[in-house]
Amino acid sequence: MNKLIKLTLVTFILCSFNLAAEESSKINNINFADRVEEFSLDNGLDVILIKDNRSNNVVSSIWYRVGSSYENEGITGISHLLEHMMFKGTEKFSAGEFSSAIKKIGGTENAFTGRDFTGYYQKVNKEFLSMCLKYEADRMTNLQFTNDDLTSEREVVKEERRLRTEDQPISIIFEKIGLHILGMTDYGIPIIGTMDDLNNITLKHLENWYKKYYKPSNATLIISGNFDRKSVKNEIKLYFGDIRNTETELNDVSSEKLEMSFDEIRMKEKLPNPILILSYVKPKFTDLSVKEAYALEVLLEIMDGSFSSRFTSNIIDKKIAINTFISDDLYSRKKSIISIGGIPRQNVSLENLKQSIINEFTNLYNEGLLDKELNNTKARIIASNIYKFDSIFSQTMSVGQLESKNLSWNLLDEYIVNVNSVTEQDIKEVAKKYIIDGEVQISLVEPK
Amino acid sequence: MRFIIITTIVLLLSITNVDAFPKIIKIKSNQDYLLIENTDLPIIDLRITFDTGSVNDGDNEGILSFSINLLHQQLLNNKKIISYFEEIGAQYDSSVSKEKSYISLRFVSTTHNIHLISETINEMLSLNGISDELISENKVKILNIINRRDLDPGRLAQKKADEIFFNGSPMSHPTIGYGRSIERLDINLIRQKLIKLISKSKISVSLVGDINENSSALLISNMIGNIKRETQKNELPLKYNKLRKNTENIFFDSTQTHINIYIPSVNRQDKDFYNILVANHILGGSGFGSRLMREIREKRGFAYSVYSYLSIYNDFGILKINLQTDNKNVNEALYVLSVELDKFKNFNPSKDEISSSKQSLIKNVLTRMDTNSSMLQTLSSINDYDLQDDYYRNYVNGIQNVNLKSIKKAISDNIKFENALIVTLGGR
Repeated sequence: MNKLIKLTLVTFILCSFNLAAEESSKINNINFADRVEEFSLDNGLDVILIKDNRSNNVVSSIWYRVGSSYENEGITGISHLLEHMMFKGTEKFSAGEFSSAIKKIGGTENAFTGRDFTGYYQKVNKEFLSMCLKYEADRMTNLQFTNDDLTSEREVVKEERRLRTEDQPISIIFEKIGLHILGMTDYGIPIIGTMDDLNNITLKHLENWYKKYYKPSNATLIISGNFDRKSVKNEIKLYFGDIRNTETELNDVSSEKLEMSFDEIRMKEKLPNPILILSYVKPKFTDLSVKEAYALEVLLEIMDGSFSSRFTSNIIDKKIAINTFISDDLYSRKKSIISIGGIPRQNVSLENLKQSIINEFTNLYNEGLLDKELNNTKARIIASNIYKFDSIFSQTMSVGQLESKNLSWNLLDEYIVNVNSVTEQDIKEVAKKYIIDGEVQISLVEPK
Repeated sequence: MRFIIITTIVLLLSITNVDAFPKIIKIKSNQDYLLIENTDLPIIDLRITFDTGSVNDGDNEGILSFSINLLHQQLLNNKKIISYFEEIGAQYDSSVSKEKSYISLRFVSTTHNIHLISETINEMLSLNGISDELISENKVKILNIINRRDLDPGRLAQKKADEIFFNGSPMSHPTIGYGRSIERLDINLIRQKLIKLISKSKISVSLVGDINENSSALLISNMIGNIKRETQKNELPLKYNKLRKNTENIFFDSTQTHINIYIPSVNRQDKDFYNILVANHILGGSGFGSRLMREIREKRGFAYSVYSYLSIYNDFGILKINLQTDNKNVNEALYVLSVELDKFKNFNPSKDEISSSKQSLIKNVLTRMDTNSSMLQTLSSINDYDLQDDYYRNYVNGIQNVNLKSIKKAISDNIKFENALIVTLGGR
């Protein structure tokens, strides 16, 4: 008897005992609701505590609701440049003192800028949480800007752009596509900024940006890990409670009347093979129905989420492409781009690859799902969700990204319910609406 | 003063609290099979390590990496092995370094999954699904990766530095190989390679997560228990040769120039390892505030990323420095590096630098052990370098014994500046 058939029998027998039920309950009982507590201070600072006692560590993080999608031409990259400047000194503490203190206690720290947020975190033993809060609260309002710091940090950011964008053809391609479709607005703006704008940003620009967005009412403080609830609340109030909001008004510069271009573009880049990229514009998360948002998530997972996906089986294994890819942001705050593409095999044209990709969506629409395809996909998504709980940092990131987009962390628990509710019909409908009948922008990249 | 002494004693006691380190179990007393049981989450992380790496490729550079990449793609009952893993949401990975190779899996810890994983890995290692078709398809993918690597300045610079530093040694080629060597691989070579890997390598297993010792033993037995094993290999120590020249500048059309510096150093078992570890932490191994970061990035804005690290091999180690800078800044960056390296030759860190680094290294070893993934990584390293016995206590003691005198002696005895290599690659 084949081993795997035997295995199925073993599983069936085991299921008749309570063990399987116990295991199932263990898996289904992992959620954020049981570990999250949220509240706000009088000054508007949102606080989220994620309790997780698996280690003695805590992650202390603060998230400001500002990123590249808040910027405009002339100062693109300013949110990210400000992130770098935040490691300089304040009135009380000298440049690098915070980092040095974290290093000394064996902690780690970093910061990140996205389209919708700028965040800072430290991972330390729980006994040092108070120290992190003290430094973080201080740099929320007391950062000192000097021309010397800007001069050197501007150069560092330009080096980062050279490293991650200018010398990376794939990054250049996606930057060009974003700008081509969405223009220099919203999600079309490169997070790191253009070289011209990086050169143009002044100390005054940075100070204004800081005063406008770095204030309690525009931030979420997220603490995850092993902490004492009562004392951490007291410490948060102690360090952040007296910080006053600046009076600068927050205005989201996004253009609802986005003028998009779907013209085909052709590029030549330093790559060994041609690349095809099909770009579809997706409405922001809150403009999609729940059913559509999660059906799209499952559809894209079925197409290219694994080695067993349709693209692998029908495009790569059938020698049409060397590889394929899909990128998408489920919780986008603005109109975003779903990118679908691949690298054709040597004797396959970009046009043939394009047709093969589109055929996959059409076939799914016409013929429906394969046996077990939906269940297997859901199993992968659900398992990945459990793995997230291995790390307090990844829990922090999941919650922080949602909160910074003015979405609730509750979506993380609802994710499993919503994915499980997706039906074959839902998937077929979004495949037709957003891909088969959706307006597509085609980008063809040839080797230079 | 008394307060300071008391504080110091308390600090030392707290940082050497061995109970704080996760308990490592030798599964059924086998020192090659290690477990950290952690039932907080219903997941298991598993890694199987073979003590065979690309140094054992012989004339077929890249053959091990290529062959390991085939394992999960084999067909079992007309279905790819990876599909069995993915259907239960398991995440599979494999990797090859110069001296080791591994496969790893993360999965939800149900009884069904444990059985399925062990049986499927056993099937995977029986190699019944290696075919000409599979090899030919894999060649297309690997050749594409090789071609892309050769257009990426960072990866190309590292490849060039390895080729020059290890010239004439089996360590010189990239683990993924070259286009020409991959083209000539065939099913016989690959089958022989995999059979040798599975039957002649030392195999170690690391497990972390929701599984006890008995279940771990059963899992391991089901995975590899029926594999016929032969006598362990006993190979001569590897060496690097004396460099013919210490600097190599390679032109490449990029906006930045990548600078890679290799300086021979100690291996993990060397008595001076902890001295060099602390010295590296001060030099460039600790991010912000390290000497290289301060001089290159913070003061001058020359680079986004600049760091040093100890690259550890079985028979020696290399202190590596890496940065990348705008082509126009290369000469100045190299000058700053040379000044810092001169200081490092005559290393004279302050007491505060040494004590801060020691404290940071000791405390960090616990701080970073907070996920199953990081524990698996540590278990794997403990296995790789035969550090099983009282790993944490030895680590803490090793760092605590470091002082200015011992660092200076360790650098003088072990850092071979005369055989240092500087490779630059970019549009200089």
